[in-house]
Amino acid sequence: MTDRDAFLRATMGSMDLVYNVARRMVRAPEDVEDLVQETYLAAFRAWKDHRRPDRVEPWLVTICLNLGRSRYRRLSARPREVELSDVVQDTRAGDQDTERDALAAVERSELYRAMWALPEEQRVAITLVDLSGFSTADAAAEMGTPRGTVLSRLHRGRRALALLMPERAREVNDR
Amino acid sequence: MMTPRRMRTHDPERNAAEYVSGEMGGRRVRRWFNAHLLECEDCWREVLLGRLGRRLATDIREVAPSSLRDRVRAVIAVESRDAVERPRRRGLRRGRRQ
Repeated sequence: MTDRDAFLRATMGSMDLVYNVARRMVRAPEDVEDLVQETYLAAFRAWKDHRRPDRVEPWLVTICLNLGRSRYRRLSARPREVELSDVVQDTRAGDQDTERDALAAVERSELYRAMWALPEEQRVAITLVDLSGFSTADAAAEMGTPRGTVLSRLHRGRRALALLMPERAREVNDR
Repeated sequence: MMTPRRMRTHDPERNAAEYVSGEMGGRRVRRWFNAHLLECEDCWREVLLGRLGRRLATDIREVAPSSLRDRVRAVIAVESRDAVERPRRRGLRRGRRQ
């Protein structure tokens, strides 16, 4: 088996996860796809040095996150060109016909907006722990902060996300 | 009920984060916190918000577009071909210089 085959076999199954991490690091769909591609390219270049086949997913997430952070900073430094991400997302979902799909698309769009309203540290903590399945100790090592700080960012992010979705937060207030 | 030493600080934020993440260590600590939740409105509210936030964060998982998979495969194929050809080209250049 060639290096390329071994790499693709080990990593392609994680594409959905990497894509979802990238979705939380950059906004425009074209930037998301570029970030996923960069992640896989960087991972392939480092493949020979990667000695933990059992830890492929956290490794890919870490690469994506690091590339995403610098890309996000670069993109935020220049003026926002479009609010295209939301529009494209809604249009994409609009292709599907059923009312349920349309409602799900609206909610997904609102959720992304809420996610993007979070400070970067909280969004990263949520992405690592809730989306990628890192323990808070591993997330702390990844973020270079004490575990207590990660717990605090995680909880504040979760709470803000819940409160930014008033319809859903009502479930809590009504109890 | 005896309060485990680790839980003596009343910190709804940290406790809720650990509880919702399934990382509250030790059966005694968990038992204490479960009982505490029945009495403490602040901690209960934080746990509910934490749970909802966690659910919302994972609700928006998407499947990567299939075109992206093709694109990544293509890029890796080019990179892998380049990696093979690069030393060969270097060898040719060196040969020409001699």
